Amino acid sequence: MIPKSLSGETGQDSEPNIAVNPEQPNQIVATAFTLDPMNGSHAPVYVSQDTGATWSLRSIVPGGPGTADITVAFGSRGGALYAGILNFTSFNFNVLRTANPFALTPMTLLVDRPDEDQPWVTAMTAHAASGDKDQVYVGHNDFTTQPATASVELSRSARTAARPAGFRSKVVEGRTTLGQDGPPVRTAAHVDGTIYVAFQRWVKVLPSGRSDISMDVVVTRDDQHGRGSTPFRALSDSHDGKPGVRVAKGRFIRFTASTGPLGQERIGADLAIAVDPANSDNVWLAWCDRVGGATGTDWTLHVCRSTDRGQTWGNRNLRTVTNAKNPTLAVNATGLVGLMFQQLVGTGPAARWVTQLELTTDAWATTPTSFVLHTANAKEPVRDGLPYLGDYMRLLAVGTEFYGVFSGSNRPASANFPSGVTYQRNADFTTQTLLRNDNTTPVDISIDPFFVRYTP
Amino acid sequence: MPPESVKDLLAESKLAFTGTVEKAKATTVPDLSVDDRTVVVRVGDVLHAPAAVDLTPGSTVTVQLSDDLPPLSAGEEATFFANGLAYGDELAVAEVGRTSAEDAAPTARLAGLQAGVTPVRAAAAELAEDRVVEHAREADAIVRAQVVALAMIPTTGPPHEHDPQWWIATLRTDFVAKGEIEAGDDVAVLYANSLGVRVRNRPKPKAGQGGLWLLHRTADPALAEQAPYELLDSLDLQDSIMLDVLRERGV
Repeated sequence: MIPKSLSGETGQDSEPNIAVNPEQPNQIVATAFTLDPMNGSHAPVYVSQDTGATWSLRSIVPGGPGTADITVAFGSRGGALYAGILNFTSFNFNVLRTANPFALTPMTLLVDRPDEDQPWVTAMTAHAASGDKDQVYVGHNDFTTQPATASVELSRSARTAARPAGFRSKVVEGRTTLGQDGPPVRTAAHVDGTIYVAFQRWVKVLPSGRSDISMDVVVTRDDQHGRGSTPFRALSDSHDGKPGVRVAKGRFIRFTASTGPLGQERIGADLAIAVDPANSDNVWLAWCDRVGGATGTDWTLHVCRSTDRGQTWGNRNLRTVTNAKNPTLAVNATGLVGLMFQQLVGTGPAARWVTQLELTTDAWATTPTSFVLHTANAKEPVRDGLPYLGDYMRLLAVGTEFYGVFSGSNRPASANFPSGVTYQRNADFTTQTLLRNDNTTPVDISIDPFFVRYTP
Repeated sequence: MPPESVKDLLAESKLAFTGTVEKAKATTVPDLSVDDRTVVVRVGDVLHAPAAVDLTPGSTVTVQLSDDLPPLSAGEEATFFANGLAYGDELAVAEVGRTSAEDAAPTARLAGLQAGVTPVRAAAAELAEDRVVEHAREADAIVRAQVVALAMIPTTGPPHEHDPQWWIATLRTDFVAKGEIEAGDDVAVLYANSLGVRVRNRPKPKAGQGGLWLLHRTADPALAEQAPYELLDSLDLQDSIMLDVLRERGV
């Protein structure tokens, strides 16, 4: 996705995110930890108006040349784009809006608050007598509400209203915690008004170390677009009667903020949820934990499904992948389920980061359709801070199409892209060398974001 | 109003290049709106550009001309000072200032010589120095010192994704340019050892490392009890030779 005019770019463009305009799927916006190429006052987004065939950067995100977290989502009609960021300068949680991300106008600040983490945006548009209303749900970890920190910032009319555009924050954690929840709070919205929220309840710190935590994976729901003063209380756990079903209980995680135990990457906070657009009863969930516990070395991805609106969940291991992270799920209009993830395959110098897309029609009862999108030596490039690949990436479905974005080594080697790739930046695939715009000067290998589209 | 100096122009812009307008009311960047002030410029010399911006002599760039300057027609030459607008196959920039092609050209070349120094490069160096000097004026203490100890501050409570991971570096000073520190004293300095996005670029002192340290009083009262000063910015560690510059500039 790095454009040709930035062929000399060597940043660690990790932690990508993506939004597709459902009304005009040729319009796509993506993000990463990419700095403004001129170190200006606004951070860039990647934009494409040809369904991802070509990309360019527009620096429209206020707060400095980069962001400290960013996710994006389009309303389902009207073309407005919403972003949740951690402001690069203040580190505040910001919610932003633009009517047209393809213009050069900076996004409008709607919410600005300190002491929060990892905003994750979903949006949809609902009919109302007064016209379309953009309903925006931003999962976030709100340290101002400790010890229950898993929260959703929501607005039911976000498209045009002045700041704060109806946004209000609701804590979705309903149990005791060790003092906070985990960073990821993910939302999945259905047009019928069903909103699922998944989060990681941090139950207790384990004796084996400060980074070892016992975690519950919790899903809660709202059936009316988040309306009312106590939204997200439609699911309660059959065992303790409290809001939110504990899909997985007492799972071991090792949360590593500044070390890289998986290749060069940190671990500890992987979570994804997706709802079937054809039937909001069907909801899919993925997370990672350490099956081996305190003495283990694994980081294991789990996928499960509910067909009764999140009340009960069957096999928690419909799909497991050892040493994988960044699970992201999407369900298309025909019920085809997509799972994208990044797996560390092999050990030592031979270890490789392998990014895969799997598609299943039967919950992995039979072998899924599977694509290796990217495979690259895990030692290259040497990391420049963390996260190395990102704490998340994203897969979306619009209609029958799947759209995704991941980050990985940009070494121009055909073997690294078994499903094919097109570079915009200058590269010589014969010598596996990146080149500046002069097509002569070599450029160091770095982490780039890559766009993927799959048509079933 | 007198014309702005090259340094003034560069202070407002990230990019400087000479070029010739090839086409008016045109763009090389798809989806970019075009008006009377949108021109395509053939690049001559690239006088100043960030590392990530891959502008090459002979390439074309779309320039949105400043509303405050006369429009340009095809064939006209100038030195453009600009900031980024859009980055695709080609680059689009917004002009913030302009001089004649000669004003910012390499002076040696005008004399028929080959030399790398240009007025723009000189101005860029001055601006970089200005930033350090300004930052030094805001510092609470400036010491020439060597790292003699490093210690982690034990953390309590659950881990945090954006934990700065505070450490303390003990600096043994041999010269104090500013601040309430005696030369020869050891001073405890707080720094964020995390590689996270927020603090990645702050100095991470290493054992034995020497230099000129620009110190700031520790803002957090609890942390201030452990270290009175902290490192907050990539500019907080300078080569010792910068001390001469700071003296000359009255810091």
